[in-house]
Amino acid sequence: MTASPAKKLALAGLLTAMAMICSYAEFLFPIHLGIPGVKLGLANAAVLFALLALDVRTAFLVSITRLILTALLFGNGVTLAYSAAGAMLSLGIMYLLMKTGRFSIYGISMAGGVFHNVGQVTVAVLLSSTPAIFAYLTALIPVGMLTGLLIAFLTDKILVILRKTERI
Amino acid sequence: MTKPNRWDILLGILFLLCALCVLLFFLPNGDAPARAEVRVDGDVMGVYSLAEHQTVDINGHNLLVIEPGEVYMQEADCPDRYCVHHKPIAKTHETIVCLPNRVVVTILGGEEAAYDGISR
Repeated sequence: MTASPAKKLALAGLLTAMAMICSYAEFLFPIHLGIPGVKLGLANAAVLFALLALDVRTAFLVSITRLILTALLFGNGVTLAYSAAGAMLSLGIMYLLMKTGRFSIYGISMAGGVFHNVGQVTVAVLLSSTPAIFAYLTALIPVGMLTGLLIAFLTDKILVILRKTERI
Repeated sequence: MTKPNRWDILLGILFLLCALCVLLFFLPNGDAPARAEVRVDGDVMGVYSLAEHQTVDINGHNLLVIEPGEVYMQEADCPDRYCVHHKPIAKTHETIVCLPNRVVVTILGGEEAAYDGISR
């Protein structure tokens, strides 16, 4: 879709705020799925929305702003390294898959969820120089798929409603 | 409403295969069955699974008995026979040594011992 620069900027700010609230909510009420460190990643819904409804530049801005602000408010440098690696790899893959034009929102978001975890595990391996941590991907790939699909479902619903009412 | 298309499903299968590959790649390191390694003069004479009952004749000097889950020395022709009196070993890195015959039996890749040699 084409949005005016002002509208795009306003939406980017709105999406960043929503992504931050999502991060904060997950920070306050972590959902334990039996695997330590697993989160739903609701903030990615805002990034996915920006990628599909606006453009990759806006999605990148929303993602990086959210990362820095949440790290400043609730995290530290180390958590920033983890989440930045995950988020940037995830966004890059989602953009590539979107560009192929073959995948629906489900495939794109699923890959985003998986590569978010791949990025984080890679940082963990690099920071601790323990390649055995890659074994964790056995659980984290399916978990990334699941959370990615849930985010896709959610974002798709929102996109359908907003497109119907021509808000975007 | 969007529905997943066949490309999405293919990608999903690919991811699951990747997860399976990671599992298979890392599994042998973690869950390898326990084995008993027999060394004579520092050279590996053989590695035996602890899963089945067997006796191992070590160069006619020692007779090692392997039973499911544990290993002990049944006979030895050395004068002190410390190895025969040694309690059966079962956990990783536990060792029976027969010094006169230069025989060392070590457990590999099994369950970790709960305590180290000092705290035991």
